[in-house]
Amino acid sequence: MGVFSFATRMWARLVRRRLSDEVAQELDLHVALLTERYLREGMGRAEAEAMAMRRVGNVTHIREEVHELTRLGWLDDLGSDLAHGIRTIRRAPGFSTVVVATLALGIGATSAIFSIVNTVLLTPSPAPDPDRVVVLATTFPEGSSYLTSDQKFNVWRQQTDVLQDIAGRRSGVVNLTNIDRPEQVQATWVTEEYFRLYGIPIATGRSFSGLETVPNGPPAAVLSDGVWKRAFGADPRIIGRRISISDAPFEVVGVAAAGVRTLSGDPIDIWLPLAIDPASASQVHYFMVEARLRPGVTLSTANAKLALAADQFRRSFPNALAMGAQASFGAQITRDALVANVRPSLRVLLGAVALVLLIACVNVANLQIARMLGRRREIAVRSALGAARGRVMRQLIAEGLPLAAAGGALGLLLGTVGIRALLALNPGNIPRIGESGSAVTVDIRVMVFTTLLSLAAALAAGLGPAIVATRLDLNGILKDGALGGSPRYVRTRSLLIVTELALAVTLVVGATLLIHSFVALRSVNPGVDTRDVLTLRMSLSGPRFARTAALDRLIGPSITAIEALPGVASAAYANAVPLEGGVVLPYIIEGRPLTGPFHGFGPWTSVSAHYFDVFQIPLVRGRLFTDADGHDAPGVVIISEAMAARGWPNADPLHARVFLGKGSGPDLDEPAREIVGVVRNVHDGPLDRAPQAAMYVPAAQVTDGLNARIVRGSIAWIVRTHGPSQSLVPAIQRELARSSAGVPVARIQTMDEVVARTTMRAEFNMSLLTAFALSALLLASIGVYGLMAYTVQQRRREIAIRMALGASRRAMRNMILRSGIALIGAGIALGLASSWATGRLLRALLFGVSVHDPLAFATAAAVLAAVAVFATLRPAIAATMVDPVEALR
Amino acid sequence: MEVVPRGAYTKTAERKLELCPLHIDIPKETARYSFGVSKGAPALRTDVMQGTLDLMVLQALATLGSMHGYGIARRIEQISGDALKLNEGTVYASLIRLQHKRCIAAAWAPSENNRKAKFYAITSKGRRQLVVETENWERISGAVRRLLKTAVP
Repeated sequence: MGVFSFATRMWARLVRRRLSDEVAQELDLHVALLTERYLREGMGRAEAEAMAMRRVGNVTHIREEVHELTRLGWLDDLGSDLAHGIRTIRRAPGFSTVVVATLALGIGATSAIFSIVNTVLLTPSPAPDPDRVVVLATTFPEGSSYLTSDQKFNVWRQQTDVLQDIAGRRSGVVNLTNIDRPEQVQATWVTEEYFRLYGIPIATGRSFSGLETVPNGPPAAVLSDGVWKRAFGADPRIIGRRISISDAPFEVVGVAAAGVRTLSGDPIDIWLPLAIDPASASQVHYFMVEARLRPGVTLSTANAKLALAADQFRRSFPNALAMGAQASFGAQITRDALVANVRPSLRVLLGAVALVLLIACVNVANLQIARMLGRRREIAVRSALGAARGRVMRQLIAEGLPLAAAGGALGLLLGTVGIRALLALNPGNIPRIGESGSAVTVDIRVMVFTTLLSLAAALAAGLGPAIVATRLDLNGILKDGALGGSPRYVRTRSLLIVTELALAVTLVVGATLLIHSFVALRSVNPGVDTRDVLTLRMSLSGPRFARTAALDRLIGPSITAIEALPGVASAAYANAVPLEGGVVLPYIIEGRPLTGPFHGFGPWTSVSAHYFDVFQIPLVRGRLFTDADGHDAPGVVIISEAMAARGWPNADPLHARVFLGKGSGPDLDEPAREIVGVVRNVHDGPLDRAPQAAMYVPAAQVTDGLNARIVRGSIAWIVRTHGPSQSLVPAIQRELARSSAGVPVARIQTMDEVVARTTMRAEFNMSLLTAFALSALLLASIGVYGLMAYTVQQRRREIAIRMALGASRRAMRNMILRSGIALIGAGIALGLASSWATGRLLRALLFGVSVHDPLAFATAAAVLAAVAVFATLRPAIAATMVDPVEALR
Repeated sequence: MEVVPRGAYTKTAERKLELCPLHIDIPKETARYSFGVSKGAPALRTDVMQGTLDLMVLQALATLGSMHGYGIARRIEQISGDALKLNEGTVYASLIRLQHKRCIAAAWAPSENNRKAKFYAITSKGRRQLVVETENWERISGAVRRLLKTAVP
């Protein structure tokens, strides 16, 4: 054996029948020729034939030869081992059920998490050669800022020796108007190069030309397949048709092929030209730039070139915003940047779920060992009859295979259901998972992964027991089936249990830390009263509301109409909703010497008078806005405590004057405003970041330039209601439709939902890790229980003797408890140590709690100790039930 | 019976052996081939060992060029001068083995008086193997001869 390659044998096996036929034919000829020879030599026909047959001899060995050549060796054995395995399973249905269920739990959870990881991190992006698509950023020591200004873009655009297809893009919403049912759609403003960069297929027409992506170019639009069908009834003559977008005319130049999505997996409804003035001095950072690395150019080469460009940029434009001495330019692979903040959490979840699987395997191994004990005699007989150790081991492992296969199949099923359950938890803006996770599917990669996992599980769960079981003291067992070799089993199993407990402790510590984080996150005061507050988003893009006065004419009557509704306490307009991001502007304090381009920067919000009432943001000093702070009134601003503390640490900010947005560009320039009030801080950003210096200005006093930029995004109506707000939604929508003459309202959320959304990721991580920790706890306690019960079983005779000699039942119970507690203690100590060592892996997911939080460690230890001791309790009590009479038997 | 301990091979011989081994060293369980009882056969006919048969078949094909099983059997009979008791069916087993080791190639062709027969021819690998195995055989038989001379006074 072993002489021929496996492949040759495989082939030979396939042709075995043909081979036999051919040999038979050859032999027939041989006999015929020999017969003829004997006939020629003068023999009679019958004698000649008999002689020829004799001469050829017994042909069975030829068949043997064919068979030997075509034998697949171990594969043949494996087949019979598997068949044997299936028979054994049928003989022990209870045991098999437990094993299959345990494996299915582990494999199912792992494949569910892996499906998400697969979709988010592993599945290729839609762009051609996506690993060479980079996003350009202004980099700071604290991180990267992907939003950029016209001025930076114009410099980046020149880096054509390392980059190509340098494309700008900005997302927002627009209204399709002048059609039967006006609707709000997702728009992306893009420069000409965008379509080439992403290789977006155009089904009919064309993408933008350079003519359309310059300022004052002809207004053009490319529709998605979906919008073309949905809003324009798949009009075959759509190309060249003038459509109305937010009341402005656009000419449709192309329709994209179906199924086009962004890199993050979101659908796009319509593309509009992003016009960047090559001579622009604007400092407003409002769009993203992506490009493709030139062939042969590495990321580090591109970055070195961009760093040079940054130095040059700083020298050319010393007053540029977001370009301090520490700032530079850099490129990052878009896909990596996109998943950068989910990568750590997915990694932790995958690690955690792998631990659960490991615990499941350990448990199965333990069960297998327990079962081997029952079969010691059988194995010993086999060995005594001459079965090689390897052969017996192979058989034992093969017996595990059908179990693992069943566990794997069930696990895949569980995983498929599990993904849906996971995504129903709403993980909150994980990129690339599609609309409510629709992109996450069980694909071939997940299948292969699960299969390999099952095989690994079978090996892991079968190998240990097989090694243990084949190291038998044959003599002992065959002589006396009861006692041979048992202490060694207990030792091996104890080791497994300690491992299992340690793994469980690690998971419980992790879960506890995440629970702490989540609680800490949720207890951050957002600075606004979120109860009974409704937010409604509206897109006002287009020429109609571009001027401040026009928007002001919408705000006044709308607010009045909403506030007149019964059940509404107060209502306000704001350009953004807290926690959802908005405009950030620099400020310069009038009359104070300047060392850099500005004194500071922070979130800027334009609001109507009742904004502070709606959110119940307390006034600290000065006054709030009134209706008198109109367009022609002197410019005023209300600042947050954080800004007051930063700008006027030892003085009163009231009546000081500040320039907002100065230096950002001519369209934002305005005279200095007087600070009329100071309000409490609001979290304008993720809850785990400290509140920033915030500025509020009356909506009526925004410059036309800034107003035009604001309405390109979506603005918000914020309504405080008496009691639950949902029933008021239709009425509010009706009033807004009336006052705005039909502008649709999109995205209605309560403020509680807005806050919850920012902590969703943390909640998702926490729930999952908690679920894993609980599974681990359950599995580990089953393991402890099993081992202790077995120990008591094994020691019945010893216990009976001890009791016969006068030991009390209590002493017996304590003896068992003590041995259990020793195991549990060792497991917990090991687990705490490994948690301590691996804690830093969790750091990225934690908020307001140290990775080595003593409370979390203590909690985990206590929980585990309690559960595990509870699991030993029953076996310990069983020990007290032993009848001393047993000693006599 | 192990004729020569494996350690007796030189390194190179062993490596070549892996290329296309002919079982010259006879494993215990296949040392003797099972033969049909041939009534009235001369008493001094010697049993043919498996590996030896492979070598003989290979040698026959090297001399004859392309030949079918019957022809090979006749050739061996003719050369050995009836000294070897050959169960001719075993030739086919040998042919299957050699074919698997790619030492020979086979093709169906019409034989004399137009019967379909499978013709075998030695491959270049088979030729190389023949050289190696012949050397081996000579060394072994020489060793055995010397051994027998010293062992039996």
